[in-house]
Amino acid sequence: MKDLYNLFDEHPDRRIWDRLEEKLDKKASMRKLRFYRVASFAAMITALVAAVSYFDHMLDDHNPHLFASNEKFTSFVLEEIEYNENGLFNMAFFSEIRNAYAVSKEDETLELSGEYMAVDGEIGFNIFLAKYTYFLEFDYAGFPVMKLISVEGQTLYFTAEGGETLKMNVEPYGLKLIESSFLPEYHHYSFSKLEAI
Amino acid sequence: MNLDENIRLCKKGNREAQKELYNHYAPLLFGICRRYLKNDSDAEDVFLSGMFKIFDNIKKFKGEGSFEGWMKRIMVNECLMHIRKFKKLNMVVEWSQIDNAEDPIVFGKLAEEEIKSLILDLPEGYRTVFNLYVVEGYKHREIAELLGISINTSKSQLILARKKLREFIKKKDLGSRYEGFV
Repeated sequence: MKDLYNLFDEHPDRRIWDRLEEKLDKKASMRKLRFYRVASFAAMITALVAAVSYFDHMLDDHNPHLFASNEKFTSFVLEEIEYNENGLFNMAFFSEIRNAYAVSKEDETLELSGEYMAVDGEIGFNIFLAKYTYFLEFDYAGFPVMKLISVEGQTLYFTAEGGETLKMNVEPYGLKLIESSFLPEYHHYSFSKLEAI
Repeated sequence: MNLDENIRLCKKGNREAQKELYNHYAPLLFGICRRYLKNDSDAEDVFLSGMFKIFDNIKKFKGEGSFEGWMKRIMVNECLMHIRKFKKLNMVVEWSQIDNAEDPIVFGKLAEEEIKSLILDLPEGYRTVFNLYVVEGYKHREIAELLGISINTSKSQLILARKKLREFIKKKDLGSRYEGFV
């Protein structure tokens, strides 16, 4: 049997190689073009991410000195403290200062004292309770010295040496006189809160 | 330059190596195209396309088998794709036409050009199956898969191709130099 496989063997036209070479060149240039496209796209994405990150960082933590020299820049100044024997910063006084704040006003005797005659015949005085000052004014020339004897919730109980009693309630808007043994006309009268201290 | 070195350079896109490879294998590969495709222009186009695929895919060749076999397979596939794309393979078989008792044909002392002419004169479908079975050595099962036909169709196409060849030989009065059946 003849060799059928190689029966048709013949060299193709020379121009086929030229066409093939042209096709291969075209493919190679397309590959290069695709590479440049991918590379430029990657570079663009990188630049975009870098720009976004930079501006995001700048907006979040703006510091005009971020890229400046910081040789002479100090972000804050520490004031030097001079040592002073009598001063606030003398450590020896710290316990005294702390104790002073530790003593509550509630521990002190609250007194409503009178005998202060005003020109119009009225008597007025201030009561300091917590953060507020209450100005109490009565048209009495003589006002007994009242001492705070007890506190029940918002209610204050005063007594005087002469036996007079006074019961006052701390209300949101002021100090209200609930009852007294000697001021019947002032029952349920409120004295305004004057100022914060 | 030896073949391995040539292939290595071709993988890098070296044009000189590509040309050397082309010059060495072009007759064989172009012969495949000529055997499958009667039309010269079609054969050239398919050969060009096949060669381009070979160079474009040469990086995929791992050197595990025969490089020549790898190239032939690409070229045969390219021919089959062309046939399937542009030609209508007439694979309709009249079973009455088939005489299964016939033996394989041999071409004896026929001149090369006469054999080539006989093969090229075969209808497209007959020639394709004849080439794949007799020349390439494919099995009917493989041919059926390649062409998307049944195994029986492949067998019948081969039988009819042989029958046609005998008719041609008789018609062209080549019988005196034809050795007949084996």
